[in-house]
Amino acid sequence: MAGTRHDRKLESGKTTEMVHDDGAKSSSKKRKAEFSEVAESSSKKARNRPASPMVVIRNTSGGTDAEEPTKKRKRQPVQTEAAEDVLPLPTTNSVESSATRDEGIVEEEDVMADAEEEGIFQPRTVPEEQDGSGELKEDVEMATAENAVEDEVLERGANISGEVSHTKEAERAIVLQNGADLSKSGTQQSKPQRRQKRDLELSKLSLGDHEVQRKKSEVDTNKAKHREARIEKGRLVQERAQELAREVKMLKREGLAETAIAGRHTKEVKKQKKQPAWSLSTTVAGRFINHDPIFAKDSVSGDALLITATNREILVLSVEASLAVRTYALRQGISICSFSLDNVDPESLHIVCDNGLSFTWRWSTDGSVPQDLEPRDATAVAGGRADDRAPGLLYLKKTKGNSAIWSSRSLYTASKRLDEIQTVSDGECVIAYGPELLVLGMRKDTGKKSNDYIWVELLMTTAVTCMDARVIESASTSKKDKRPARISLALGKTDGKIHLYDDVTSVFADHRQASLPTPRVLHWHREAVSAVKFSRDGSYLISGGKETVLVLWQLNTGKKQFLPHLTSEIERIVVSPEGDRYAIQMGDNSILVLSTSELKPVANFAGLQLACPVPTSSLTTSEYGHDVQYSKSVAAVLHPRHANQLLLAVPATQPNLSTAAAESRPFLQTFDIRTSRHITRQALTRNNVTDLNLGPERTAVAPPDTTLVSISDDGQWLATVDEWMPPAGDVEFLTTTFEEVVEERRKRREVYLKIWRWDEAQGLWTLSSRVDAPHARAGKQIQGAGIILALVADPVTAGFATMGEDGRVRMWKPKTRVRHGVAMKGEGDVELVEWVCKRSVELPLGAEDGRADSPVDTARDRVLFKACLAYSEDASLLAAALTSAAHTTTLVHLLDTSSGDIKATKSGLAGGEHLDHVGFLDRYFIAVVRDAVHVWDLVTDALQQRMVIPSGATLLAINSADGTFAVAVDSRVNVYKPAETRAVHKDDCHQNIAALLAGKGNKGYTLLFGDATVRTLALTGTPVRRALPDAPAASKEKELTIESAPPQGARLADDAEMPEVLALPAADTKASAAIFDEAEDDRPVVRPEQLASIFDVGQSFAMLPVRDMLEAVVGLYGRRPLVQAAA
Amino acid sequence: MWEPTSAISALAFSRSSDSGYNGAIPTLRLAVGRANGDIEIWNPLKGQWVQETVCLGDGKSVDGLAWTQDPDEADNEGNVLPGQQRLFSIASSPAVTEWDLASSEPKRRSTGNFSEVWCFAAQPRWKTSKNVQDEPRSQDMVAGCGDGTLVLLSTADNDLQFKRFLARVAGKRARCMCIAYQNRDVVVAGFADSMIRIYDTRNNSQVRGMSLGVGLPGAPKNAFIWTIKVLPNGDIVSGDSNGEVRIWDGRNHSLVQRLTGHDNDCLDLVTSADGHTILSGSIDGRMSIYKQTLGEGGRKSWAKHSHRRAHSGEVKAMAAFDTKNGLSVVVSGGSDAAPVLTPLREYGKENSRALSSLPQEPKVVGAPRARLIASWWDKEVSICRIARQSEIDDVSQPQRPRKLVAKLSLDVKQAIRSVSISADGKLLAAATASEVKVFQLRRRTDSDALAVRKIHTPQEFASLGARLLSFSSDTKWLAAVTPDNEVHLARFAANPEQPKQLRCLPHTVELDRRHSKRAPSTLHEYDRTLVRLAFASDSSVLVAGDVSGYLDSWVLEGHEDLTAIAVDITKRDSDKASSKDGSDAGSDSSDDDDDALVIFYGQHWTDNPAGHLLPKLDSAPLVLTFRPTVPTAQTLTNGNPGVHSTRHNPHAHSHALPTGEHRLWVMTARHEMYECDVLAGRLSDWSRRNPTAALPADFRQIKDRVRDAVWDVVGQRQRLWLYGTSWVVMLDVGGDLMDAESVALTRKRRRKAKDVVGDSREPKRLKPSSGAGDLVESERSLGPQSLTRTENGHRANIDLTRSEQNADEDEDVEVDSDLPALQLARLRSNGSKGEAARRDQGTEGQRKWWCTFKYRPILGMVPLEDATIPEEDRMLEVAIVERPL
Repeated sequence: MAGTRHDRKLESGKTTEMVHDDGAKSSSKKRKAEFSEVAESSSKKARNRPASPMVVIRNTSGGTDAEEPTKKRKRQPVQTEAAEDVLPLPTTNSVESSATRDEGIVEEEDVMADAEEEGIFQPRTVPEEQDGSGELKEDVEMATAENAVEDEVLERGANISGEVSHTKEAERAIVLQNGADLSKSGTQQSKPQRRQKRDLELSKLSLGDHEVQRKKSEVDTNKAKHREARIEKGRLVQERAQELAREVKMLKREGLAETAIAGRHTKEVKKQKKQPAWSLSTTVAGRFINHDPIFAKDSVSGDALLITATNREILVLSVEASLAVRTYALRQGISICSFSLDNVDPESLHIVCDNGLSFTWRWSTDGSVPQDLEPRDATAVAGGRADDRAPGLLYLKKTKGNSAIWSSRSLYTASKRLDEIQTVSDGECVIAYGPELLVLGMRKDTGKKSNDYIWVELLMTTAVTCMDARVIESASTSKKDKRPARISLALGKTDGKIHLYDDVTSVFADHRQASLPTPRVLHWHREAVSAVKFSRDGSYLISGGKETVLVLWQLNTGKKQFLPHLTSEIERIVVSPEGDRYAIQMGDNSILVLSTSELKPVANFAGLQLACPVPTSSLTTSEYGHDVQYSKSVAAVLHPRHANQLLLAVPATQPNLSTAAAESRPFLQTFDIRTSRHITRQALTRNNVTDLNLGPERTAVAPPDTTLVSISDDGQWLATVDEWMPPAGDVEFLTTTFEEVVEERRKRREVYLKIWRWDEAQGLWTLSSRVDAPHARAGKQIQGAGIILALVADPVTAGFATMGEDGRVRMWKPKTRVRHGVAMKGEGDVELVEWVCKRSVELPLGAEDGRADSPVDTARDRVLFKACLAYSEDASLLAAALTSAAHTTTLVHLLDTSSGDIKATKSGLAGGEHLDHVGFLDRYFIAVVRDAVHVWDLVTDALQQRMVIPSGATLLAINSADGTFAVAVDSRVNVYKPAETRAVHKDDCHQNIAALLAGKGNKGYTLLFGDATVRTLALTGTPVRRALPDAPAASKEKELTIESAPPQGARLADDAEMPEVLALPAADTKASAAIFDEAEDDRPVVRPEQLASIFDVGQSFAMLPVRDMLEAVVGLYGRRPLVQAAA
Repeated sequence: MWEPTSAISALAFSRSSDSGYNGAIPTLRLAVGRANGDIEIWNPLKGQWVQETVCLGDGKSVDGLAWTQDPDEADNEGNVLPGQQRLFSIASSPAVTEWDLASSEPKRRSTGNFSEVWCFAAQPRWKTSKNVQDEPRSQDMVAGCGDGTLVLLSTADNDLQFKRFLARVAGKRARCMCIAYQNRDVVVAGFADSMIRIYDTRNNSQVRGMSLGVGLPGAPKNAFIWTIKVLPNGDIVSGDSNGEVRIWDGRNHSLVQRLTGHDNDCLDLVTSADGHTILSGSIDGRMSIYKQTLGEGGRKSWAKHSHRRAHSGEVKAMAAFDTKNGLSVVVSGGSDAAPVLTPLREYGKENSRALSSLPQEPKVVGAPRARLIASWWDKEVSICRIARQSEIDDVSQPQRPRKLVAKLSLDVKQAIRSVSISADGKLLAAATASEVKVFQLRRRTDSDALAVRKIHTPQEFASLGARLLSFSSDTKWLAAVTPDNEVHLARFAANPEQPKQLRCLPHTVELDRRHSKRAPSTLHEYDRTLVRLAFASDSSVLVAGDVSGYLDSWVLEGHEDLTAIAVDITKRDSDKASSKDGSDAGSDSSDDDDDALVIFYGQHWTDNPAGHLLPKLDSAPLVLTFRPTVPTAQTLTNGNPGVHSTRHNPHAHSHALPTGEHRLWVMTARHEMYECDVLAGRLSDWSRRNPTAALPADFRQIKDRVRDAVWDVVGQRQRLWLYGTSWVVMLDVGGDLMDAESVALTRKRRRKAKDVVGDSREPKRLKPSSGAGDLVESERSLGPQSLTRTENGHRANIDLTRSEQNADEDEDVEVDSDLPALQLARLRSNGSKGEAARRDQGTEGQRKWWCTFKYRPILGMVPLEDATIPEEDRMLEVAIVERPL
């Protein structure tokens, strides 16, 4: 070990002799490109984006030329051209290309820094996103991470050289972050100057740069980790060194390089390359904001487009293809409030964000740069015609408790809140509304050049939920008079009525004459109307609400047409300009485009339908708090075979009320997190989609709630658990007290374990078995089904295990259905199976701390509120733990899955009553308790680690593929390796993590957030899923890593530092294959000769006693990981 | 007991609008026809809606009502006498009935060779045109029959005669369901075979037939055309069993628009006077409103505006009255029996309001001293005894609070119109339109039930029939108002042979009514219909009030002399007789009632000498009651002193007038309050101090009209309990209700409120101009009620609820200057109820007024007395009869 290190030191020492000056390098840029062309035919174009010339960043420490930036900028286009001409093939992975890429990254970061100051990123186009701009952002983040690492590396270098002070290196890190500034600063700056500059920059760092700082601090805390990583990557250094040597040689020939600096730099480059860094991908999916989508037309192809937005990006969707054509993402933490097309230029989109920013974006072109707009703190925007007297754009601005209508100046201040604004007739008339207020503005006499409006404010007696206005132009021939003859207004109210004013122009009349006609009342909706729109010709009114029915009001005859059973509440309706389509935004986070003639769906854009968190009211807690002690966890799994498929239980409609009916999740959505596309949605339980969803007492009828989802290893079997209880109102007549109501409801609880088989032909999960009430209720209660607290899938074979409130663990296995001794076959010659409970194990109770003899009814005390269940990787062990209200210590039982025996019962494993999650990783048992993570070595039966985590809602995911596990607490996620005391990676997502998932055979973790977005946490060394084509993720991953790795032999030689280690025979072969692929794999390697030394001792009589042999073997496999030992 | 009011089946206003009359505007009445054949005449009274008279029917449902007005006539002096308004009805029979409103009896029937009449309509009034010098023509009527026959009837010459057949439509379903005149010559009829046929009455030809076409899926193939109306511009509106309202062009008879108004049958519809609004009612109780708006390109089109559930049952009949600035209201009725007023012009801005379904005249009478309650229905009278409170509470033998003690089933042909029971419960009189029957009630010794004995009354009295009956408080007199509005009196006395039995003296007397000079009315004799009778508490004064507000009063002259001959018929006094002799010499023998003076036990009735001084009331009196006086124990033992029969004066009688104050307390249909001293012929002092303005504001806001009053007079306590269908109010009339200052202020304010509409600070619309309910509260209003208009930075608040744009600003200012004092006055007068009461108790120990809405709907309130309790301890005891539907 020490020897290796020494070697490496020597090596780096060698490289330090090579001279490398930045100035020289920049001057030799062109040659370098040629050189690449000649020598590295494998190309530098790893990504199909031009290689950037921003190499300058390296010149900072002691570089000489101050004119560098200008030169560089000038040269840039040429460079780009050359790169594109010469290197057309996007092949992968040469050292040089990586270097170039790194440079590109830094440049990208430069851009990003600028962009961040504007609050926005570069637009990216979707067709290229797979390997282009989509990756771009990952690269940016990667670069950030790498910079942080680099900083650390530099420090290491400094330590080695013993010459450079720590402060300087830290400063350098900052400078690297801000490459552009750095190049400006030039090399002439003295140390103090630079320090000053750094301070300045530090002070300039906005919140957006927070991540950088955090990384920096992380670097400080995680030095040890990086050190190990560096050692692991030592083999890379050799190759890299060779490449660099050539380069440096050339530079040396130029005679411009300065030995010491160049040497350090070279080393730095090398180290950069071998950094494996965890990083979060960009956000995928998201929830459509509550805003009318806009119909637009592609100016070139004439395709119908739909412009809408999630809170983080603007989407241009193609109606024909049901695909996103173009997206425009905003920086994290900013969300879009409102957007509007420009009246004059329909290719400009005005966007207003919640942090007060507003800007214009040309959505029709890919690379358009947004332009800032005024004012800075609007909440809604509407386009109006911009001419000499009218405002081009109108905004709503929130002030204290009320709203103002703005254009270039404040036009009108309303007395109450306004939410949305609409202009009609090119801004001749402005209509804005809030729940209590309707403001109408009519431009005054058009002859004058006045920009003044007559404003009329109407206080609403019932709250307005939606509004649409329609103008009938006056029939008068004079074109100049653009005053609308009539303004029809439709207002949707909370009481389900639609008020339709045929003409509201009379309100603008003089004081004495002003009047408002009584409205037409269209009343069909039972609950608040969510959306109302006029058809283009004004003869229909289209409305929708919670009833999941689209209502078409034929205004002339009073007839109604219905489009029922839309499966989800209607939130928004938009009529296309041609009037041939309706876009309906629905409560399940999807937008449906219908043709108006036959009401057939044309396109459907569905986002991730993860139930959004509902602010819990006091009512909810009193009603449900007794049964649900913890907040509902997200029931989601990643498909083991299709790593990008996320399966999750979703509600019919995003709940906006915290009631059982709203929050229950009867559907399963399959969502592709790579392409951010909805795949399927199917019902898992009975639901009210085609039924009345209101009971006779106007209470919503609740469907069962799918609480747990699990999928078998082969992806063929899906197990779901759903439960249902009658609403309290239905049993209240039986009871007198609240407790009795709860008990009566529990008696009538229905719990089903459903096991579904994947039907390839239909592309659906088909129900294979349904187990009614798989678990009994706790205590001696007979009536009612007990809730299932945990459901896990057998990691090896088809099988599931459940744990219920009765304290039993049941293992479910398929059994071929046999009739007369012959296996039954179903359609497609598939053997029919039924799922049976193979074993049922009752877990013994833990100590009841002195209450065992108390006469208190034990049934109540035994109410469990938390259970943990986990299979070991080879499915031989099942860990089960239950926490009940009565026990202060949690027992963890280890069950033999084959026999069902309780092999061991540990009380110290969890060490506290708040055991949240358990899991197996290799020989380690991981238990997450309230404020710590315990890693228990099962072989030595000793507590290996205890990592303190902040208290909060915890999530655990274990990824056996890369031997890590991740723990998420609220918004933070830490990645650990079981053998390491510190987190491998720490990250803060700044929003609550709803679910943390690890795919089978996939490195990294998938994070689901409350706003229905998905991010991936993975090693940058491994390509992020999003960037991959459709091929299985593993292959490409492998390919890439292998290419970057030296031949096996060389690598083994490299591993000389761990000579006595042999590979661990892992449970699945994939893992053992991967061991050579994973550069960062730190499992102990047990070599055959080591084993041979134990077993091959000639005659059998000469063998050691069995006990000693076992100890020897265990000593091989169970030794502490090498790296840690080395540390 | 009393049965619930039956469903409304027809409604008609005597005219639909104020416009179109060049002379005097005819009086406005609403006729409400019910399923049991009753027809009620309501007076809208500019929005106060009071039921004036009831014409009792024969049990056949009134299917249609129509009013006509005879042509105006010019008298010799050139004054235009407006023509008489006549009311016609159809029931499920082949006849059209004309009603005599004055007597509330059918006047004539016209039958013919046609089957039962399903619908009928009156021709529009003849209008004088300058071009054609033509004699004014009367209005014809057209009736549609069940066999598809259309009949023309003429109302000319104050008659109703068959004119001719207009058409006979053959076919199985050729039932004429509805009919309307498009103009004076063209009749539009809707049939059950989903056809609308148009006929020209001039040449009996069918102009056009329009079919509804195929019915809605699921509905019968043939739609019924339930109703058809014609808009002022000639367009035809039909409502059918598909729930659709269709509008047809009046000239070319093409379908203009079809509107889906209802999910069920549309049974009736009405149009506004300007023809821009249609309301339709359906079988599910909903009323829809349609308005004409400018559609695309300036084309006028109709659209359904909104609907609301107006009735719990179906909407069977609707009628509209719409004038520009006055009443603008739709009345609808159905199986829930209560007419509902829906604002027409102010739809959505004013509430609709249900009128009472109970008769205005309480169908409950009581004998307080005997604790009996009598109520009647059709031909039956039920008498109940109310147990004393102590008996009910009796622990050992608790009594049922109410016990039916007698049930009289009269052998009469018509329904009972009025019943009266004497205060001591010994006599009960019941009258139909042609009979009066009197019974003596005696308590049986063996059981609770009453022994009923019919008392023979003189034939001329018994066959009179009566619309009103009233016993005097001393049970000696029975006053009966005949259907022809004559007042007759009968005297009851103990039978000398059987002292326990009462008998009716063999002569009765008719009292002359004062023939006041009347303004010419289009209802002619109806205005003289007497609606209220009242005896003074000492039985010496009788007052009757008629529909137009005139009061007639009579006094009992002389002193009772039981020793005198029971009935002494004499000539009138010489002076009177001599004056009469000249004129009535010829008719002397034939008309001896007029001349003869009937003296009962030395007493006789004569006109109140001060009767001409009594004021004419503003509207019909609803409450006529004498303030009870403490009887002045002045019964003379020796009869009339100094009155002795002589040879020259064989029928000597006293002319002594009753002494003491006889204060008559009146409340009119407009809820104006008066008290007059009848014998003095002037308003009493109390009334001068307490004009109507002194009534508490709470009371003035009550819309239900008063039905009757009960006195509570014990010692110093003088309270008057008034009640309406839904309220009971106590007024302490012993003292002043309000001090003079406040009264003056309130009066002023009320005047202002009347003049100025839209003064936002006042409680709005004490008198809604449109005739329906109050303004809709802001929380429930359909749209915003005010707007803020901002122009050039200048803000102005505009009230959108005001109905009239020409509110006078000067008046506003004047009211504002009055405000501080006014508010003070109001605070003192009502403030909050509790506060007012406390203040009153603090100063005088008694509440001046009290109000409750606890009981509803009140059919009647009957005072009871408990003789076991000493009089000074007696609290008022009443039985309230509720009649929930």
